[in-house]
Amino acid sequence: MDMLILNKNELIDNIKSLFKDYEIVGPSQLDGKLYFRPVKSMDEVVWDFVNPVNNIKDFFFPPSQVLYELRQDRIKAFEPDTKKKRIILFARSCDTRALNLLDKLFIGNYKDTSYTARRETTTIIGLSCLEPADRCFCISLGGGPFATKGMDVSISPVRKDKFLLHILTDKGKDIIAEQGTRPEREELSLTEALKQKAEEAIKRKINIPSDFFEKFDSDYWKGVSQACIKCGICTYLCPACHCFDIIDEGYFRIRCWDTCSSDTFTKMAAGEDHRKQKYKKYRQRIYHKFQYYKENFGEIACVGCGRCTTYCPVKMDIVEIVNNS
Amino acid sequence: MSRSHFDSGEKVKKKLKIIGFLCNWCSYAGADLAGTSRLQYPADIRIIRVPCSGRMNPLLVLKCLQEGADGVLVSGCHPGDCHYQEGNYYVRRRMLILKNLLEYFGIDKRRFHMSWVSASEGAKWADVVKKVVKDVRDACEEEVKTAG
Amino acid sequence: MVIKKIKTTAKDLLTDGSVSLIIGYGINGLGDVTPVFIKDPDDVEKLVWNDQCYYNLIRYLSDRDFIEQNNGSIGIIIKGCDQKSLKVLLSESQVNRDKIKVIGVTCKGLMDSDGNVLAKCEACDVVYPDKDFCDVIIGEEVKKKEKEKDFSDIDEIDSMDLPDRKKFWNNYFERCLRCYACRNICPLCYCKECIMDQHNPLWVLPSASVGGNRLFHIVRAYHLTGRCVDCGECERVCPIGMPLRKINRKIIKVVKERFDFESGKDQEQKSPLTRYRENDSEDFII
Repeated sequence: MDMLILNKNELIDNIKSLFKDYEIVGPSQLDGKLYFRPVKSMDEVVWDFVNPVNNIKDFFFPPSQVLYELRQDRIKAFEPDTKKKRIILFARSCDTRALNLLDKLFIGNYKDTSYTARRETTTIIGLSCLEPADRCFCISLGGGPFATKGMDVSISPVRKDKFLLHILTDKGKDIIAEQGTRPEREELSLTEALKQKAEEAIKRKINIPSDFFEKFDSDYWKGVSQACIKCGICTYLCPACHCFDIIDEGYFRIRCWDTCSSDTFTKMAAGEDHRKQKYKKYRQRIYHKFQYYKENFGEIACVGCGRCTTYCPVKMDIVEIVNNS
Repeated sequence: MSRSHFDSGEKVKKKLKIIGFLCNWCSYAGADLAGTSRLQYPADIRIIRVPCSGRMNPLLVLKCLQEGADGVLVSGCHPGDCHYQEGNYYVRRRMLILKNLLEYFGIDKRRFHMSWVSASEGAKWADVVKKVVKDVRDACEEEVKTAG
Repeated sequence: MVIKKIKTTAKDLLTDGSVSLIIGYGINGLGDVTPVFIKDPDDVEKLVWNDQCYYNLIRYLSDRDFIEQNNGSIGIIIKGCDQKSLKVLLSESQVNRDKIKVIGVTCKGLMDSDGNVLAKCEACDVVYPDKDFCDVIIGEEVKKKEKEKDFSDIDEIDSMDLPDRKKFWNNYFERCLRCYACRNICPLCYCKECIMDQHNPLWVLPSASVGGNRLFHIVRAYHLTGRCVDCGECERVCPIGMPLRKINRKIIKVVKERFDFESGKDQEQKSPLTRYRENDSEDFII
């Protein structure tokens, strides 16, 4: 693991040099909200933020993707456009950890070709969190504001205009030019102090009870799910949620995002639906994240970013609901 | 990638695809009369017979536009002459809303028309189709020009 | 104090058995206002009342799941804007007036997280819910002002060129996730099977394509013709910030101008699309 110090201008110049060979995706403003989206210059990139509305899974597992076109006489498969390599700039550790979680599914026993292709051609530059939001609870799930899991290069602040870069993978090595200085002990301790401060700022903790699985049949779920309106915001904005539907639109077979909260998620032929009631749907979501994914893949499918609570139309608080179960 | 939704595509085709929903008792008979009278009118219109213009669900109009129709025409009996008394009065209100809404979203209002054609108005039918085809063609050409 | 009166009213209604459930505003673990559902009279302490009480709780009265789970009488706390949607639901026979107790509260306006008054509140003309409509009314009486509805932002879009208008809306249709939060939060979207969920026949493309999103929003707005009361919830919940009120208010404007109809005024009103006048406008008909 290589470490080097760059000042802000050197860092900006380094990233600017990447614009000609890579497609750069970074946090930028649009209509008053912050999104991860392709940017044309460093002027569009925002440095001071908590987390954009969307997360980086959009660029590996897009909301809607054509698989193939099927006509009477031919079938045409659509490959993801990976000719131009891509860099995701300033991803937070929660989002990058979530990507590793998704890898377990999409590049597990069966390799999803488009996801794998996009993964291989994308480099992730992460940015440590200096000022986590009230809604964040990454630490109680094994993450942290200065964590580096899932990043190819991690950028941590030393001071206002100085940054400490960790180059964590070969892909990261390819994009960072040979400049900068070796970190001094004083600089490392400055970063460490900022890390401590950020970690202390995260007060929210999620506490999954040890007898969580036994609570399945409890009436608790009926009570807590009453406010839910069964939209898809929590699932679509969650960096770890990954359920999809395969639909036919005319000649095209399309894979698109789906949400377990929707009425059609468990609808089967002849109108059968085993998970019709809202509390069952909500219970399923919680259990999938905090129990089943752990049983199947070894990790809890939640990274503590808090988007689900912030953007929920009725502000359902997942931490409160799990802690009180 | 996918079909052009509501958009007319990259160029205006020589033969447009205009879907006409004609009420069985007046407009369809009127169109039939235009045919038996050997009146000439453009062949770009494809007719679907409905029992009454009041049967028209705005969703059908929208679906046509989405599936690639260049234009849609709904034609019924004159107010007061509806075979089912009131159907055309209701559809008049429905389509007014639809027309305003389509225009609001930037879909050219010339792509959706409504007309009253009675069973004896074969000549009027031919004129209506001529006008509609011209309007739709103008709208599509303008759209292609501003998009390209 | 308003909140004290809300709590005592709720407690009284629960203890004397008039209602088996109270729907009101409470606080979640993060300190944000959230809908609460209270069955135990002692739990009324959870109720709050402040300028962040956004939710149109009437939404739960038209929710089949909810009514199935709570088939006793329900006490519900409403603001003036919520009252309008309740009147529409009553006119459509979706709510049994005898099974609900309406607790109206004067609302001086809601604020967003930056401290600005919400746009819909600036144009509000129902600060004080109707005394003869609510079972209980809490808060000071405010004289009703007949405010002229301001449609200047709608006119602005109408005055744009067609390609600009299309670009304006495409900007949002490209980002719409089809989360259906706007549809699900709306008290008047209560169809057992929404047309968006029908796959056979397929009306609206289920995936989040520009064309599919455009059709979804056109259809949803159309299904609210003569019904939408502009409670503003749809725009509040949209994660990408689509200006949904601009769509609904366009239809409100057309309905007012052409059919002389305003929804939510009276629970005996009939929808303008189920009525006609012999001299309805025909200027668009050949």
